[in-house]
Amino acid sequence: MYKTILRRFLIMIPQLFVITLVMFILASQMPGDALTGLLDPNMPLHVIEQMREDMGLNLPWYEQYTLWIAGMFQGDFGMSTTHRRPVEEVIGERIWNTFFLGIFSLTITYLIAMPLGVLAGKYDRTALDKAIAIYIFMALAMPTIVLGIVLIFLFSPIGTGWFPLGGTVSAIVLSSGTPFEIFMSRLHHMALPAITGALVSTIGIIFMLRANIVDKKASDYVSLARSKGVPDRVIFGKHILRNSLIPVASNIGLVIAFTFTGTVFVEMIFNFPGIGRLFLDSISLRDFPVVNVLVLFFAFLTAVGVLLSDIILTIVDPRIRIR
Amino acid sequence: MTEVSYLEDDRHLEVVQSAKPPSMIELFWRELKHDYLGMAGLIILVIIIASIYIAAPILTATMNVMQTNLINMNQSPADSGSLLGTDMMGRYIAPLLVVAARNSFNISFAVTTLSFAIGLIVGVVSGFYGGKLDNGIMRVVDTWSMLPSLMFIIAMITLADERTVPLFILFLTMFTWMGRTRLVRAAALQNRNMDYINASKTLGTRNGIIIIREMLPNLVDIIVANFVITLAASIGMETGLSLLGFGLGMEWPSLGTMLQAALQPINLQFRWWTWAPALLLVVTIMLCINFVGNALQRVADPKQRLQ
Repeated sequence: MYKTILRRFLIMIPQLFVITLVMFILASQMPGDALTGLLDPNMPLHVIEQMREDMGLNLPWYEQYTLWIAGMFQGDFGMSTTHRRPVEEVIGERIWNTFFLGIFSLTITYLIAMPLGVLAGKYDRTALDKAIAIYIFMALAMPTIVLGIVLIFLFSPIGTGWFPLGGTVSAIVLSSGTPFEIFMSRLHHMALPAITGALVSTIGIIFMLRANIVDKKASDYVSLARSKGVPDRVIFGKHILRNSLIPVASNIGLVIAFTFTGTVFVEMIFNFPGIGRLFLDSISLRDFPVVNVLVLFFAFLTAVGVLLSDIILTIVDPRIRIR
Repeated sequence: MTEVSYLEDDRHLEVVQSAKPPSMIELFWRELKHDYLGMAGLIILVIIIASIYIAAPILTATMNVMQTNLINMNQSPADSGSLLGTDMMGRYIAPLLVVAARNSFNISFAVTTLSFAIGLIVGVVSGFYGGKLDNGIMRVVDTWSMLPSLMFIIAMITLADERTVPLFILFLTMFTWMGRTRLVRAAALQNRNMDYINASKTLGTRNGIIIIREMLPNLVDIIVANFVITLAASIGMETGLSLLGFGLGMEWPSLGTMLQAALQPINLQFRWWTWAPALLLVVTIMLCINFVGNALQRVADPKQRLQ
């Protein structure tokens, strides 16, 4: 098992190489570079050329790529061209915001999805199941960003004012509050973005859980247990539910990856200072050192998510062994 | 003892005659009779699409929907006396909405069709032949899926020289074909070892003909159902990207660019007519498509059917 995990990790490395390579080639084929838009139009051309030369922008892409990779291995992520600071500092400032938002969003996802999925499966083809189906249809019809607009309209200071808009913590609480108050203020600020990010992921989990439970309810071993006289409560809790949770558990890795990449849209619309928004700002300013590291980071996250899913699957379901 | 000749028995003959399997459209129709949401979705969707595609050419021919008018800025429906008022550039919302919806539909339809075309070809080949070819193809698909697709789409659109419709469609397709390939491949893999395929192989039919004549007809219902649902997702994606300014330029109105108005708090708070119609239209279209897609999915999977 440990060998397989190690092997899968090793396979990931060439895959990540390919991804950075694709990003680099794309960036080099596109017009404009970090100096576009930053320059004073009155600046003489030879000065601009000198700046390009100094930043290594005149090198062919493969030389830039080799330099970049070599730097990465030495722990040097490069310099952000807009912030004029090391990339790891720029990203480090914001990564925790995104991290907490993602965790909060995941918590909400499962808090909504698990009960609804179990109920829809247990009482399938009843009014309750239909009500949950309507929830799924509504969630499917709301693109993340549209949901964001609706939530802002209803619950931010524009509407009822139940939740604040923008930022991560209120300034007054931060200066004079207890750690607990600061924590609560953070949650309060993250609530709307977290719900927005969570809703999409709930659909798949509810669907999966319901389908599994319905499927297991009709299976032979459940009929057998019932004919032996096992109480319904035990049948459901021990035989149906446990087995139905296997795919849901193994899905967690993918949901984690999906939630974190999904924050790109969410952060933008809620003006939330995380790495998703950093990515959008950086790409607009062609700050490729930051963009490249962020793309690599998200690709890595996706790969780890997939691996995590496989590992969890082997733990919860002994019949399956990954090769 | 009486002998019953089954072939002469009228009742039985009837069964034999009707043994021809019902077509997908027939099944879909049967399914809709039991599904009010699906029926309502189909009717509303047909009305919306028909009116958009009939009205949009007429509007673009008779007036310039993009015509800005600084005197008429931000007029509410009541003030301006028009159906939905004007936006912050003085353009009338109602005709703009029709053209925007048509553009969104066109783009989403093109993206979905293209990514399914790629997915169908690659997926069927991969699933039918299996083995090493399948392994190789799926390795490529897996690596490609690891790319943070949303970020790549945004990056490519931002960096593109000019934002044209074909480029936008190309970028969206480039990062959505993998899911379609997986879907088709999984279905093809299931069919690959079934008796009807083996029978054809035994008879010496060429692989290309088996794929086209035997296998594809059996994949059609799954593909159609997923096509419809993916169409809804594509509309959502286009809306999200355009809304954030990573879609087409201002000269191409789409549902997403119209929703941009909602990003400004003053519009969100005081000028509902600048964004609410577009938002309602997006949600209605996606809801209806999903209702229809849901019915189609049940057609594709006999276990789930209501009838």
